[in-house]
Amino acid sequence: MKKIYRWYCKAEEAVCGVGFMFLVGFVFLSAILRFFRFSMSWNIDLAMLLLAWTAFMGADIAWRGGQIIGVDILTRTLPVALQRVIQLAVYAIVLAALVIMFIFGARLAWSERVSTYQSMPIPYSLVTISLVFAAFSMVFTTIQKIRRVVLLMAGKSTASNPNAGPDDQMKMDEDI
Amino acid sequence: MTLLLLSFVLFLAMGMPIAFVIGIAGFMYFFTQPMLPFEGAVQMVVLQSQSFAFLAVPFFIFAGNLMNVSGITSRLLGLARLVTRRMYGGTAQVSVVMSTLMGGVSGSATADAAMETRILGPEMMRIGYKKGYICAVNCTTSLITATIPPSLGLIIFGFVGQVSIGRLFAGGLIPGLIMMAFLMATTSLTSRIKRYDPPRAEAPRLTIHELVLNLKESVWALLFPVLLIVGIRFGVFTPSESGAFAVIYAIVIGKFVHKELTWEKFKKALVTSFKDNGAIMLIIAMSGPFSYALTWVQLPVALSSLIFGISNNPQILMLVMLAFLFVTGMFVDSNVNFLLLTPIFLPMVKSLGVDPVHFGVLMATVVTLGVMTPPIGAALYTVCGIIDCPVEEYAKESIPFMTAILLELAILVFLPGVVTFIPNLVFGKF
Repeated sequence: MKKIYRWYCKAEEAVCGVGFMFLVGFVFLSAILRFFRFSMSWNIDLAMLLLAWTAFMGADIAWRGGQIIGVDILTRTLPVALQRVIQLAVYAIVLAALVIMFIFGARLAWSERVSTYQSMPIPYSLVTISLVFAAFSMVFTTIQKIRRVVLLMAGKSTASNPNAGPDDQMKMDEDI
Repeated sequence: MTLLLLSFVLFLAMGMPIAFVIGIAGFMYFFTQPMLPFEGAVQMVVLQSQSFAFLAVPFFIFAGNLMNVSGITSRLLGLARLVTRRMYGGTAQVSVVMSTLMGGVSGSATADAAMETRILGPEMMRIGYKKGYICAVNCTTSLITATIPPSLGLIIFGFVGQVSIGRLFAGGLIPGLIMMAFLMATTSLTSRIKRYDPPRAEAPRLTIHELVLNLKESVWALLFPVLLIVGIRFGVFTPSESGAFAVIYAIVIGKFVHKELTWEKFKKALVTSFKDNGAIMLIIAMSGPFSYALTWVQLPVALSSLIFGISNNPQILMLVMLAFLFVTGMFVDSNVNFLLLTPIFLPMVKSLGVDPVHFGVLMATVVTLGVMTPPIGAALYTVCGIIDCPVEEYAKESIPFMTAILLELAILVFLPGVVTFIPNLVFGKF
């Protein structure tokens, strides 16, 4: 199970990276072509589709990597036990919101399934599905974060920051 | 309105990530309004990501990260050292000049502040600067990055307010250089008072030969903002496409001119970029329902009648708005400030007859300043975290720098020509 999950994370990063490169290459190319008076009607639509997917996938990866964090200026002055309870509450609310986003997003995508792009023969709901996908994936990440806090509260783990993944603290430092 | 703002403040105080704070507060409002279909809220999140103008955001993030790993940073640092070596507080001055030079390739103040603290921090500690001062210099001067094009703040402002991004880029140039002058003067003054890092007598005078030698290497980075504005002006690329050009430019310079860009470095920059982009785009997307709800509860109307009630002098009103933005910037993430407050303030300044570019540059500066002011500021915590400096010390030492910045802004409010001179020259008068 763990192996599959790790494989999935790697795959998501790879897809997101390739999508990102395509996005750059594609917009660059269409600008060059336009300069030579060669216009493509579908270029903007395809770029926007790629942007939605790379953005939401990137957000999912950043959330998993502990890069999307809140401000703890108030909570960090509280006793540790209370801090954990608040953190748990935050994750629970986020989880609920993600589940709702997933359900309503899926319904929206379903209702849009027949409409296609004007310029391309692909369904418009592909854009909405990018959000549905990210919400779905973030649900799992959030459950893991909750699990980590619960383990901390039960005293079964010594990690100091339940938000960050195992080697993420280091990565975060490099990222900035 | 109470529910919307209350849940916003409560979630923020609980330490929830800002993207979820605005997203969930917006959702909650949609839930309580039977007139607003909830699918609409989700649709707004998706639609918010579907703007061609926003393409510039991932591109400039990527370009900045690529330039960082392709040797451009170290060459600019060499140039900064060269021109400041006979100054009082020389190493601190390097930071000011470096921020200005980096401003032309990077769009993010936080990334710039972190990079400079990491490179210059240890050296400054060895020379005898105090930690608070080191953080204050490196952090506040990175605000210059936010004014000199390309700047993420200007891009988001331009997108939300439908203001020409090319004009905004051109408008940021002179204010950025003036800010450099102001901050260099502040650095010189404060380091003299504190007796930090006096100029060494044996430091040789800068020769033309040395400068030319360095410029041969660093000219590619210095040319970049100029190429950007010229390219947009002559329609070679649109502002969103200019980001893609920036990425290709960075790859070409890194690979073929400096020969430092390897596949490994490229991959690292790519991963960092899509994560940074995801984090920012999530905030942008999630702001959709919240911003809609703000309009629904008529907050813009309430706020504008409040502000218009103060005075009818355009300059005074602009100062009031900037003061308001300064205060919200202390508590709320800069991207959120742009997304939520641009649609409220821009129509107001337009009705006062103020040039949107003039206001945009000032707003971008003061909102980005928010990432450097306590109690909540991304750049401030990043910088203080790097060299382990107490926030109080930073706050104390940053007062002269903040004063200089606010003074510059206040002066610019009364001198719109300084901001709009280059945009009018390059793009023609409105």
